[in-house]
Amino acid sequence: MKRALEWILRFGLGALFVYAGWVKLRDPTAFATEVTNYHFFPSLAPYLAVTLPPAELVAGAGLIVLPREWRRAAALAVALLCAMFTVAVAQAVARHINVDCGCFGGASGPVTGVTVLRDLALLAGAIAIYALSPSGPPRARPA
Amino acid sequence: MLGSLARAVALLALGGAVGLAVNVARKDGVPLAGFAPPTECKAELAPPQLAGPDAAAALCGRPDVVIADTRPAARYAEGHVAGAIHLPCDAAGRVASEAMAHLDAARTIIVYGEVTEDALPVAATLRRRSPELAARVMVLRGGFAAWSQAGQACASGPCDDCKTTAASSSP
Repeated sequence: MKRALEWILRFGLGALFVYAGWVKLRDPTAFATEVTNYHFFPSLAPYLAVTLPPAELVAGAGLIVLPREWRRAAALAVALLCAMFTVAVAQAVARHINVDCGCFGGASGPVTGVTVLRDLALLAGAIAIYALSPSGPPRARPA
Repeated sequence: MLGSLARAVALLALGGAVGLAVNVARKDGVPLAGFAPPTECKAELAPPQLAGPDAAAALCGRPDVVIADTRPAARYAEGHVAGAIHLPCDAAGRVASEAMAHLDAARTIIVYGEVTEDALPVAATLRRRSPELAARVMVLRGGFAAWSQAGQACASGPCDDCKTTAASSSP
């Protein structure tokens, strides 16, 4: 049961992050504009717009394809990204900034309280993968 | 935990480094220094459909067709397409809202100016204002000049239905 839950979370979250990263990579200027609109460290917006999508891609793909000793690291990387996204959207909601989410490309809809809850759920999912994944290298089977 | 954290940071750093490299290599990369988000909407509307005087005259008189004169009120009073309402370029606020209410029920809206180009700004404004209107706005090719030359029906005097537009657009 634990293995099945870990497997579902790992592949679900991994695929979601690969998709989100890929969509943003296709139009970097649009994503940079959306990041700027958050008014959250605006001077860093172009750097974040350039580095975040491939970081999402690597972390998401890592959840799916990396060997088990790296999976916890990939889950932690996804959790760190989710934490950052949650802070960004939460501050936009708190400051009543009317901004398009940009989470999955251009037509992602506006940032609302639901976006914050969704990001928190993704964060919880990443933490769950970390907790459920075995920490060490696979045990050698007795001959 | 610390080992996983170090690996997680390494994964993110790898992604970030790849992103920076890809951004340098691609033609549509984001300028890292002095990035300014585009302030204008670049989505351009396709040019509006043009209707010649004969085609417009064939639509004239239908209850679901509205013809709108975009010229100044004085020019409208001198002569206009029979049945046309007055919708000048500078219509704004209540005047524009009343005109829009007039247009909402129409299936086809034909706008015209003195020549074709005069009506294009009003046609573009109408089409941007409502996606539903966008497909229904046509421009009279050649404007009122072509309509008159073609011998199509004309009327004169201020528009009875839109006195507000005529009065408001007068200086």
